[in-house]
Amino acid sequence: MSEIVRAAGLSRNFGEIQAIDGVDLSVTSGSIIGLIGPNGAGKTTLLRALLGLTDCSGDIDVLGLDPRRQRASLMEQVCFIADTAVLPGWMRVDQLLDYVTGTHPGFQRPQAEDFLRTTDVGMNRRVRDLSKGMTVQLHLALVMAIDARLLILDEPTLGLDILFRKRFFEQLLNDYFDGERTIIISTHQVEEVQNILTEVLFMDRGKMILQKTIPALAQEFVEVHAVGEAESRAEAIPYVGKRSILGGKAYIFEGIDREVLAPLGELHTPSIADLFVAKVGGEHNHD
Amino acid sequence: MTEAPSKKLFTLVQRELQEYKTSLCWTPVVIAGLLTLVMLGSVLSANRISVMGDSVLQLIVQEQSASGMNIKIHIDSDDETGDTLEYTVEEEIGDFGRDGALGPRGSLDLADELDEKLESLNPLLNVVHILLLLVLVFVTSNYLLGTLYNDRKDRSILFWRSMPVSEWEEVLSKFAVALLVAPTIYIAVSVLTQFVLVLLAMLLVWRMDMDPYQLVLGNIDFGRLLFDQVGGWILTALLIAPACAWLLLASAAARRSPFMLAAGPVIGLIAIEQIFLGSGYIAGAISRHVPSLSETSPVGFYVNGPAWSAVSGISIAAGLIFSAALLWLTVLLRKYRWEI
Repeated sequence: MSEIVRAAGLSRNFGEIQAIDGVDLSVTSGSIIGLIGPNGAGKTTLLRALLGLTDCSGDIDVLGLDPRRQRASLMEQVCFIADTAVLPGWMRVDQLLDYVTGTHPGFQRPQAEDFLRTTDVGMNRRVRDLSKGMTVQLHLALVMAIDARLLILDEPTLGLDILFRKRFFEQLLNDYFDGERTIIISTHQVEEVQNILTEVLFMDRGKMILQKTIPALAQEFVEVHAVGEAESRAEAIPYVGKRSILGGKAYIFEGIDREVLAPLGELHTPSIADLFVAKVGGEHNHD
Repeated sequence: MTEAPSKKLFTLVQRELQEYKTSLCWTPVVIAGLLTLVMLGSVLSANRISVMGDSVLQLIVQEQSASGMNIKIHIDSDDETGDTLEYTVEEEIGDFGRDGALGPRGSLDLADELDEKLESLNPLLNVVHILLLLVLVFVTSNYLLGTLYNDRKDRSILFWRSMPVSEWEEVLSKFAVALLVAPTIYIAVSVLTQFVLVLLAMLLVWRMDMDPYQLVLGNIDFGRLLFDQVGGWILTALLIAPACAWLLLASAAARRSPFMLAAGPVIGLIAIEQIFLGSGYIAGAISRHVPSLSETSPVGFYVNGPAWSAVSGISIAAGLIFSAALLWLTVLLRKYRWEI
């Protein structure tokens, strides 16, 4: 497991707005990382900085290259899906394959064609005539046929129905991820990806507020379902966040020994979505 | 090792031709087809209406005059004594129709006389070439204004930039399409059209029982024609390079209308200079790098061959340096300020 992304003090502002603010980041190969944050948290700017699509200050190294100066070389090893609507609508599918064949040395056209044969995407169809779901499948076909070490997905399933979203992540996991490749996914649909993630990054207002592997997350954060008089005892212990449940409250604690919490109620590993709400909500509550 | 860069360049150019297929590929073909149809119509009509044949040939001579060529003609005139004399003068072909076109002797031996009068049919064929070049200028201006704007507008730039193609490769390929690839297509279609028109003209002459080899082929210098038209464009391309780079920059910078961004500052600068300084230096400098059919403009289409001696080498060099600076700015915008 080698470090393939390293960033230190990464910052980018648009006028008065600090889109990313001194972000430090380290990504090792073979991970599936979920980048999670509310709208305007700086997720897209961070991903674009990693891809060399926006200027930024600070140190940044992706696969040994500086994306700001070596984007074209970097893109030979990195794939990127922005969202469902970025493929050029005027192109036919076969023309798109021609283009990627001619510009990307790592593209295996037969592999993409094989994948497309399993879908409803015809080679002579214009991209603008495809549904959103088919467009994503086409983009996925291109990406899966490229032997890239890092895949960056920025809201890849936005606007898709649940069937397409499910199929997308299944294909990603089964057909693309091989344990050596690395995937960074930015998404709002946390519940759909949480089972495939190996690591999570929480961002809020340009800052990285959490970076943990899933096992570390399960070890450090505990959710207690406190019912009745246990509620008041749970309130006495510093918690990260709480939410209402039937007959009581669920508290999320960080770094508290499980033996201390066990008498308060049932212990669970918090879901990523709940943890995110607790962390981000907690940050906002401190303001 | 050299295959990959050339393959990439080919792919980038192919992409442009696919996106702008109608304006860059089909438009010249359609124009050529229409011109050929018109000529074909003349050939077919000339068989039934004999006068038409004469008219077409006269038109050829008149078109030749429109190019400003001097040819020698004979004019019959009455002297003061009332006797009819025949004398020869050298006169601009513009006066040729004054005494009734070819005059009373015109129909006697039209073929021989025309053959004597026609020094060359090249200027007539240049009319076809100029027509296609005018369309080319319009089409490439439109292409340059749209090519770095449309993909930002529809956000497909995010896909293009996810490919291992540098901004320089992208910008230079588009610049090359405007200055080299599209002109190559238009000039090739123009030459082919001229060739077809020559064949049709030969057919026309043959159907009028005249010698097509002597009358048509004998009056066309194909080598000169090709050299003039291709060489002329090379000089034109060198001169208009900064104008093309400017349009490309406007396309990369515009948030709403590339045309307004391209035209607005230029018109504004010219107006400010004229109002406050009373000079026209900027307008003069721009006119030296914008294609024009005006006789006073130094940038013509050079259909009579590249006039290297008439063009300032410093002006060309300065224009090319300015072009490089504009392209560099375009690349910077493409890198860091592409969102609309």
